[in-house]
Amino acid sequence: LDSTSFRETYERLHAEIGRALVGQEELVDGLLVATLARGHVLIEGAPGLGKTLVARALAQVSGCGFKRIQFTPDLMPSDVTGSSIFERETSQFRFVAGPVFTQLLLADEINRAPAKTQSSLLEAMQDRTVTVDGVSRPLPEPFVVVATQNPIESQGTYPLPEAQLDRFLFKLAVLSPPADVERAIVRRHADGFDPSDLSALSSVTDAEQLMAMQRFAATVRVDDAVIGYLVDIVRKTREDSSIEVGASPRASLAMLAAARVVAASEGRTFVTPDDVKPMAKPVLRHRVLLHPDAQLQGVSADDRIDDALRRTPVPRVG
Amino acid sequence: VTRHSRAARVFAAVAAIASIAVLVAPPARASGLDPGAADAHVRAAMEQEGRAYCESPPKPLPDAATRLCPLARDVPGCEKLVAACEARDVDVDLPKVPTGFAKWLASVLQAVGPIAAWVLVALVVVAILLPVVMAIRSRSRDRKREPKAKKKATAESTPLDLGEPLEPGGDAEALLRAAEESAAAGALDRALFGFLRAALVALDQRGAIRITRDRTHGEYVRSCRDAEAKPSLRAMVSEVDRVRFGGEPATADRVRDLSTRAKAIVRAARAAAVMATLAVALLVSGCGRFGARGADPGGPELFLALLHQQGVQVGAPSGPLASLPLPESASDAPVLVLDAERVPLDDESRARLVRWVRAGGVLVIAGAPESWPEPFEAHAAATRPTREARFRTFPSLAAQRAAEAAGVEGKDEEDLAAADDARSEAREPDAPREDVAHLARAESFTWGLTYRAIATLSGEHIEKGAHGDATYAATASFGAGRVLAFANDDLFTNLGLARPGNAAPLVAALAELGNARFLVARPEHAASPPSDPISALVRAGLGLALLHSLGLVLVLFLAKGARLGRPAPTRPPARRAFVEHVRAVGALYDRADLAGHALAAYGRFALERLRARLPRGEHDLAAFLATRSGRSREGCEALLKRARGDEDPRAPRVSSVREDVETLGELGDATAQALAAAPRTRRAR
Repeated sequence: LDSTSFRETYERLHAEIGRALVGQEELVDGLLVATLARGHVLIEGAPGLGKTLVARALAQVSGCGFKRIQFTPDLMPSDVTGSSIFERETSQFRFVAGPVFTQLLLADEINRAPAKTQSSLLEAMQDRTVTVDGVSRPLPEPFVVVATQNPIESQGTYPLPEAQLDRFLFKLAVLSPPADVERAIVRRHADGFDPSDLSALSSVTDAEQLMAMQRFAATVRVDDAVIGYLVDIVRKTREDSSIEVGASPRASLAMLAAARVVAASEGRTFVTPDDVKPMAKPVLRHRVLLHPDAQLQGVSADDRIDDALRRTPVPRVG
Repeated sequence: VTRHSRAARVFAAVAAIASIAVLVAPPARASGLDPGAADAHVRAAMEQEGRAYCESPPKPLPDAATRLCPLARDVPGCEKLVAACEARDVDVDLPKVPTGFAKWLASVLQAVGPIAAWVLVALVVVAILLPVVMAIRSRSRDRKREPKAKKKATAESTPLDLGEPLEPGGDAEALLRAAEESAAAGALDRALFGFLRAALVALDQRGAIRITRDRTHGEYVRSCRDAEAKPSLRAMVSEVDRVRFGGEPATADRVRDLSTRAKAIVRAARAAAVMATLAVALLVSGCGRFGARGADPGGPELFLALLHQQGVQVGAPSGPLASLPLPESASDAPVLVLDAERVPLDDESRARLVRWVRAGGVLVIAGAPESWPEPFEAHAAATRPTREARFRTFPSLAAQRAAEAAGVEGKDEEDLAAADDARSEAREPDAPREDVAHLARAESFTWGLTYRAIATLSGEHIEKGAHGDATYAATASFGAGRVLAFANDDLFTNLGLARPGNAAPLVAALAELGNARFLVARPEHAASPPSDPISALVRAGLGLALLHSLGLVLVLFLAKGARLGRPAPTRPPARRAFVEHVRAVGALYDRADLAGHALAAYGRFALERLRARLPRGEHDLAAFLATRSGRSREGCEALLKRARGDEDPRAPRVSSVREDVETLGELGDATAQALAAAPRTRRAR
């Protein structure tokens, strides 16, 4: 795999997902970048904006195994990870794998399950293994969790704990589409598009090719100046008085991995600050905890990240 | 004897020839002006000087030239001027006096028009200034957001040091030279970076991009508003990024390519800046208002050329009219030609001219009588129904004036005219010359001085004292000098003289003055020495530039100095209001889903207060509460149980927030009743 074929494959993946999802370019890009950076994605948006559809479309075009868990308040951790059941014939316990044993896991409305169930994904997302009854079992590669949550409902929901949030490489915000895009969506449905049947989408890659792309992205060159730049951005979140808890070094690593994929998707074998800057918001917005005063003043995490970007000089020539 | 007689014979012969010549020759033209050759001289002058006022008149036609439009159709080859006149929608007919409603409407428009024009001008100025002020303020705000670092990077070191971070400003040419020096020295990477910096700085100065410390190369490319430079900039950024971040070597080919692209961008910026500066300079100086020299139909070029062709001495006053040297005698005074419509006089100049004429100067003045010096006592008369001015001049008067200049000083024009008539009767060649001139404006004047009319618009023959208010041109004595006046300057303009037949009457009128030296005043001569620097700037044509500068200062004040005029904002109190703290803490607990924890804390606080009021040796809190609050013991026990149940925040929540609030409300009421009834113990104090 070289940079050219990486870029071509990336563009084909993007185009194929775009056949199912209209007008959500940033969402598709974010999902693809996170997948190729071996990260997980938390998609936040109001109902009906295509969060689930994009995850299913990704599974279809990437050729990976796909399972979906609808998170509910009564969902138990064993419903996610699986459990050992006693077989009377053999008088032994047999492990029945849960839906987490897949390559692309859609955790739909993840904030509807209590923290205990949410935490059952911690090990899977971080170590890509699942430990049940003292036995650790590896998850298939590639393993990507695409979680969705609805920001407007608070009744009967359980906010994700910070430790869980930190496991997600990106938090993508899905906004309402503009009028022309919405008209195009309705037009497609009027023409017979069925979002529950994505068989019309063709597989661009398979799991092996996806992993090869992941490996290639990890080899993209990063100059010291670029590393300094992204570290400066992350550290700025810790120096901001409006932010109570800034991003951790894991955020720097996440930004680095994402920037590498962006560079490779443009056919380059090196990272520039141009690749880093757009990744700041998706990587940092769920990793910073705003001060209550800032929250009361209506300041958002994106505002503070914008400010951090403005205060961080870009390494250029010289 | 023989030798002497031969010399005497030769002398006698020469004297005889001279006498014959004197007797046979026509009267000498003392002034040198020849009305008979005037039309031919005008044609020759037009061939030499060109006919720019006809062939390439300024567009739009200036107001001063527009008034001459009625003559345009009479001049052959002036089709373009006619078209320009038609574009201005000029009414070539004689003006009609409005009556009734039209008169009222005209008076209203006359009153409202200037106000509306000023309002329009003010709106235009505001429309221009507003975006400028907003842009400057916006830029100022942007700069405030940036850290105030790099102050020490002075203008001298920044442009030349390629190692400094890229900042706005600097000299793109200097950066380009530094990059070329680096390339020559073999520092190819520095040269590569230097070329990109030069291009970015040039684009920043051109306004195509805005250099800030937080912008990436890609953002510069995407935000570049110069469509021509954008592809080059994208290619340059790509090459530099390969070397800077990709670890690729800076090759000579790359440097050469970037050098070419950077030079194109920098030089294009410089050329654009030069062109813009020139355009602004031309606009400010007013050069763009008129075309080539002599293109103004109302200009004096043809008149000057005609005087040259006539062979008289033509010059200009040596200084301002306000300091015009007084003539020592009438004989040595030149003729001063003053077009009062082109050369507006100030008070000092008017006063000096009056003194100069009184001292013996000869003044030819043309233009609206109101602009003449007041002692001349001239007033405009009503418009006449014809534009034909009939001239009646006396060619012999020129010679007589020249001969009698010293002897007859002080004689008035009536005496001279009477003498001329007497000579006319005695000598047939001294008959008056009659011409007809075609004017653009049918204007005339009345004169309080004793004068002799030279041209009238009445259409009748001029007779002494019978021309009334139809006088177009006249001459009068004034002190020791003379004045030859014209009701307007039509005959002194390019177009007026180009009209066939107009030159002869003008030259004939000038010839009567009997002088061969002419000084033609220009607009700059009308200005007296400035009394202060501002008026000097205005007179030097820099008034508009001064106005622009003041406007710029005003804009800068609004952008930078306005805040100095505002009272300093009062600093907000360092401490927040207690209620804000409570809300913030509440929001924090609510976001963390720990409302129960907060309520439990309040419950503990209430129980502690109750325990503190327990009498010594008493341990039953429920009994104490029941006794003091008048409630049932069972109810108090249940209440305390519910309140204590929330003391441990780690315990599973069994009640909703609403139930907790109700419990606490009940507990608060009971506690308040108990505490109000219980005496304060030492522990409570």
